[in-house]
Amino acid sequence: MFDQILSKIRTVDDQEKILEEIDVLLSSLYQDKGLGFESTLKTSARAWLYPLLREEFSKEGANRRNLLLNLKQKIEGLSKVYITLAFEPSEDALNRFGGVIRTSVREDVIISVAYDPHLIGGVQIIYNGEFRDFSFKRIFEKEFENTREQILKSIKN
Amino acid sequence: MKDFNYYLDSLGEIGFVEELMHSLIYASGLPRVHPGELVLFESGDLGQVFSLTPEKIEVLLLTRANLKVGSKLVRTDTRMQIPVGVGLLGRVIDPLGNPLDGAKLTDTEDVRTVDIAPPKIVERVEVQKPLITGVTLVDLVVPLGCGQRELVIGDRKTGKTDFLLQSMVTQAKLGSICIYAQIGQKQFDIKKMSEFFAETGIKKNTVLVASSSSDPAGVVFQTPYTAMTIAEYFRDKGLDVLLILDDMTTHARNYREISLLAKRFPGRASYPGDIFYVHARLIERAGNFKKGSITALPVAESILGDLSGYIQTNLMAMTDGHIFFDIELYNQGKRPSVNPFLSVTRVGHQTQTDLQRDLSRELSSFLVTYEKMKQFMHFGAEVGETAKKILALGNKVDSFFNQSPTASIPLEINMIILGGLWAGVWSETKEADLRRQMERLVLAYNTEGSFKKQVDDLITQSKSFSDLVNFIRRNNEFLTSKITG
Amino acid sequence: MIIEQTSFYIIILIAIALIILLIGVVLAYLRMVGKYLDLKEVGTEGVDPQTIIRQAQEKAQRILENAQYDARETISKAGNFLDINQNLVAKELQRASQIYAKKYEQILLVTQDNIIKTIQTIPEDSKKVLLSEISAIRTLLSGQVQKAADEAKNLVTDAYKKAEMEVENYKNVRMREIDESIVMILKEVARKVLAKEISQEEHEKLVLKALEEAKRQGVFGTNTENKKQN
Repeated sequence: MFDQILSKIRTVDDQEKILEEIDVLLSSLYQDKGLGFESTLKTSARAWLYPLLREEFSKEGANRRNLLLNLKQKIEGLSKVYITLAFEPSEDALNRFGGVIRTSVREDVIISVAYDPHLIGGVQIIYNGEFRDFSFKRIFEKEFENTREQILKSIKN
Repeated sequence: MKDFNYYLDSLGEIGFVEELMHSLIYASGLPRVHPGELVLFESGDLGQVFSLTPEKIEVLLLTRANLKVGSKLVRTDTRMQIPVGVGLLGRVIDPLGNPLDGAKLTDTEDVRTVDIAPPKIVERVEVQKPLITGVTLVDLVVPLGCGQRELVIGDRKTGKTDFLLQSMVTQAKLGSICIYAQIGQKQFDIKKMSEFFAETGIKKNTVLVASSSSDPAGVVFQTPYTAMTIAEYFRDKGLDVLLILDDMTTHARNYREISLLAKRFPGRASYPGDIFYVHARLIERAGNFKKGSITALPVAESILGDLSGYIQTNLMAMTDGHIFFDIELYNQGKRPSVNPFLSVTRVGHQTQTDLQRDLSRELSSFLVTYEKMKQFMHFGAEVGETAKKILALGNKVDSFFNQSPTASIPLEINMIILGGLWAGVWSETKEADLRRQMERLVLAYNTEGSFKKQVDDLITQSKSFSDLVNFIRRNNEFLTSKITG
Repeated sequence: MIIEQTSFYIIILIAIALIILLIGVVLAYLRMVGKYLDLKEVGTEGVDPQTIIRQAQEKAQRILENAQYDARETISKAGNFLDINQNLVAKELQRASQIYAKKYEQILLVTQDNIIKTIQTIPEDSKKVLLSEISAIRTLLSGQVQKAADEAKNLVTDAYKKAEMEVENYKNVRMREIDESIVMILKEVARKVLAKEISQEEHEKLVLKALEEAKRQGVFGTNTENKKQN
């Protein structure tokens, strides 16, 4: 179950939302002598999460609380790749990026996407403290500084 | 130090602040950072990596930073370094090498790492040259040598700083470089110290490395290391350096604060387990070397004369002796209030000439006898002639040792005066006149070339203290003429 | 003063008279004692002591009466002397005071004339002094005014120069700032243009290429647990 759930979480936003839902479920575990949990599961959990959780809870000897806590721990422990883009990506693009990253790292990694128009193009990647700048920002600024005086001269003329 | 983006691009590593705890920051990222490395925050603040765990990096702040959780930081791939050069002479700097007295630093030809391993044994040389402090009691009874590490210990307000400043003035006038490290002291005291150097005319030979009590803990912690680094620079130039670390108990307290914040397990008196190492690796960098010497005078504060405190005993173990400033003697009006019986010099005597050693032995044994006589007197018993003579001479020796904190007395004239005391030149002189006459002799020595030569020749020719005393006994006119003159 | 002297002499005369009287009494007493002693010797040879005493008493009485009469005369003479002298002194005083009053009056008149003369000459003197003072002040003032004018001129010139310099500096600084802002604007424009030039597809391609490059460089392949435990 965990692997299936974890594979559905692709971004940091997804992670935060799932964690919120799990917190709601945990708080409703003992409401109305346990009856409230079922209705909360139906109403709060997202569509793909509900059947997975349902299946897991219906197994014999399943402890709902422990299951939810373990799931929460696993989700919190997902390592993050921070990418900063110069454009707002589409769903497809995000999926593709996530796919490349997952094949490079491992499956249980999530992406945190930030948007910075100053990058112009390309991407900045941060993973486990490693920083790589594959954007045009640096190149652009360096070139601009080099030609700054020429630009000023041409304007004044 | 370059900017944040430079290090980010060149090293390709980034970290994020996860937790803030006063002067300690816990950050994630920076996979290849090493302990002691400097890190630079996006805001321009500086920190030093204190320790590493698999999950987090512990960073000690070196500037008054206003950081938030999520702030970025980068490695600099450098350890802490300071600029060194002759341009530091006469300046007041902080432990990061920034000037505190206004003007920019100039003439700094080199940059040196602050925290390095002490030199190995092959680079060391025996302590051979005496270090004249200008303080009679110390120069005669507890002599120091160039390259010695001598702990200066005593209660607060017992005259330790006066003694240190006297030594500094004497050594600076003899051409040594003097470095004074004020560790976590009041800003006003730092200013007063700087003004003192200017007033006494020794500014061009001194460097003041100062951190105030309001500075970040990391900066206060670095102070003695910075001072030692500067001392090493001048030592490598072939000069003799006097380094004063005032005071190491404050430094230890500061390190304890950092360690407790970092949740290190507290040891004896809540000090961390590595407090000895922290001080030993600093003190061991001083000594006599082939190129030059660094004489270190670390200062330690005792409480009610207790020499058995943890930090005090640690420092005593890693130094070549200690000069103990006794609060009892201070309250009796003795200045300096050095207790000659509890003070030790392990390598000072080997720097003395035969005459000086003989004199020192004679004086030490006399002081012991005198002390015993004084104890005996407490019982109110009748004393014989010998005892009376000893007590009378002892009183005169006490007057001889009493010295103004601004006076710096050359060793040669001290030896002659002591010889004169032993020879009975002042046997009939009242105590009120004794000090004045001795000062006249010192003045004559300092101002009259012929008298100075006479004294120096006599010192050189005398092989033992008894020779000197006998000569003075037979030819005391050369002294009496100056006293009455 | 004359009156006091006269009284003093009178008192001395009275004192002398009393002393003389006293001496006389003492001498008489002594004679009497001597006679008594003689009479006693005679009495022892058969003279009556009562008679001697009575005789002595009568003699003493007579001496005393004589002395009293002399003293009375001396006192009355002194009293007359005193009266005469008092009159003389009074007359002298009156005469002296008249002389002094006249003299004082004369002095007053002389002084009055002098003052009037002086007051009349003051305008002349002070006029001269005033004129000289005024001319001195005038020259001084004109010098000061000239000096002040020169100083003011210099100040104004300096201030003008300073202001010119400051304006020049300000101009340069502002020009630099303007240049900076022009550069910033150009930079922003260039950036926006460049960003617009790149299409969505190209962006995505760039990102994928960058991710591949990062993978190649081993960014995703670092084992951080090993590294941090160094």
